[in-house]
Amino acid sequence: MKKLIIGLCAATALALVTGSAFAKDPVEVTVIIKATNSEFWQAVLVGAQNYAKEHEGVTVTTNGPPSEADIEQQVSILEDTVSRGPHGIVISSTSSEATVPAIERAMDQGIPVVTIDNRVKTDKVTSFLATDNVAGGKMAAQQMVEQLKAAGKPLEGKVALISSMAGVQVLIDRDTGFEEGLKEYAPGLTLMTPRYVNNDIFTAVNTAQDLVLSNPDLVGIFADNNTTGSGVAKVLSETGKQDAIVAVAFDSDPQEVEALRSGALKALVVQDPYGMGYKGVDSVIRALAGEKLPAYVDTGANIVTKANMDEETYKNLLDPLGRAIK
Amino acid sequence: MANIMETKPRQGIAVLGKYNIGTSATLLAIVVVLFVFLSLTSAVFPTPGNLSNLLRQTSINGIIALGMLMVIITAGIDLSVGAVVAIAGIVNALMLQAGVSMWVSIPLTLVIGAAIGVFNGILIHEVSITPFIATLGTLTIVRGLVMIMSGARMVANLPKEFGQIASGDIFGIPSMFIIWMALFLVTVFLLNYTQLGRNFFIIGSSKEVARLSGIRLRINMYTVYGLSSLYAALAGILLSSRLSMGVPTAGISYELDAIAAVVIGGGSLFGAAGSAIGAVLGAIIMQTIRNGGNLLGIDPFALQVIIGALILIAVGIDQFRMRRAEKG
Repeated sequence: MKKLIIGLCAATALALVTGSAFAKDPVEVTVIIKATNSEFWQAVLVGAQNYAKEHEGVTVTTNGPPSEADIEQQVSILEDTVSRGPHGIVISSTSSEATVPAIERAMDQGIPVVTIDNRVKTDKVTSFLATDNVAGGKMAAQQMVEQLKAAGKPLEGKVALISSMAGVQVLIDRDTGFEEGLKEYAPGLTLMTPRYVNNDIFTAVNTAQDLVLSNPDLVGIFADNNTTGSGVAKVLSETGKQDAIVAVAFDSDPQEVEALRSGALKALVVQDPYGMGYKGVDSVIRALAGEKLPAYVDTGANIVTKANMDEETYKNLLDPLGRAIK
Repeated sequence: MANIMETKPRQGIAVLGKYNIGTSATLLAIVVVLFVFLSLTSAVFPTPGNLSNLLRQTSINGIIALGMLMVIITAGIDLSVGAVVAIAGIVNALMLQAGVSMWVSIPLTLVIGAAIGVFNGILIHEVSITPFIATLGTLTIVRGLVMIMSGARMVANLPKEFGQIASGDIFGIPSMFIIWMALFLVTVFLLNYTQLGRNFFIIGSSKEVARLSGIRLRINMYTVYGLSSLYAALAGILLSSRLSMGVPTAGISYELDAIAAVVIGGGSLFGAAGSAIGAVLGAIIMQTIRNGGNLLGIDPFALQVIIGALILIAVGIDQFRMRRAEKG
């Protein structure tokens, strides 16, 4: 009898909570990022928080370990979150496997989980939002070829690839996409053996220096992240080869943006971390409203050049942290 | 105890004697072979442009290696040098950004660098933490401080004249290389012509012997780790001048390159072995292989295998010679 009463009370309480979720009580979405020490992930949080500020009745709580190396800690954060029970969860899981049990438990409890950036090895997620890095790499190749054509250069000679690090999946995807794109858009160009620089900007500078000096027929350089992009830009502006060699780089940081303006880099391929955060929360809200969401959404890579860098859309992509609503 | 007293000091004397000259000759031969081979296979390698790039590229690791050498001679190790490179670059860049003159910011940064080394010395001598762990702890602390101070962002827009320090040439010779060579001479002098240098070798042979012969361990340990950190801080300042910005992630794993240069140059982690000329040649050999690899477009992974193998071969040959010298 006692149990029955408690059960009834609980059921009533639950009905009240869920029933009023959209009316008065705020919907709480917890956003868990991979690392708090990076601008990229901070931009994800800015997107999520802006969504909450623009939509009444939505609150966003954020959490994440200090560094991407802290996989264990991220798993505990997720487990604690699931036990606490927000209305929905957005997570960029560092590990593709370690977070699966907790994610499945949340889904079983009726908490929608939207994963962003990194795919986890379970089908039990509400939706997955990420950048297609292969497509981004391909766009970089296309852009390089277009700029070479625009400069009236014949599509022959060598193209160098300076990669930040070997064995990192997103970088492999970018490099693969670039290689595919180059073959497709300009088969006359030869892609040189990639050089890896251990994400060290000094090594990136040294390597770019060696490549520029030893290859008079070098017409383009692809740098697959911000460190390599800044290193390449430094060498090209120092050697005065910024117009002889078309350099395209991934990501955006203040140095790369400056290089884009000075012409040392001809284009940047940027992802949309802000959009990931914003759309991540939006997906949770739509799932709670009963909408059926696609399993995978490409948040897109964008090409920013000197010509469009001051337009509102692209300015926002270059500096997502500047978009925070106070 | 008897065993240590018996074997270690002799090793030290052997190094100060002719064994060391033999090591340098071998290294010099390797450098010559590398240069001849690369000049034959790459038209660009022997050009003044590339050679001055090569010297500039080697200088940072070369400077750190000289400091590391002294620590390794005392049978110690300093894993914090890479982190010191980063903190020196950031601290100096932040001061420059705040409008402090570089004639003030650079000496201040060097003092901070040396202080970090003395902190290592305190951990090792007073708290009796082994050098490996003590400097590992310092590495982690300093890396964290760098991130806090910089907000994990690069510190850019530094004054032009600061950038010119490392990018400039004097009579066509890169200034970074000149600074490195000046430091090389200082190190040769310290190690071979001062009591301090002799103390380092004796401490490396056996701390017990050093203590019994009246060497004050405290001041010597503070000094050797202070020097290592000071050299690393100088390297950090030069690096940020070369890049015209402070980079929070600079210097990651530079400690390993420095240790490799010292070891290729005949240094022994057991202490009391190694020379400044060896460390210089070790650094040149490593960077020449990397530079040549880039020029010739050699597979980067194969290049890593080659550098790793080189470390083992260099150390292996030395071990072999040492055993032969012992028998003879």
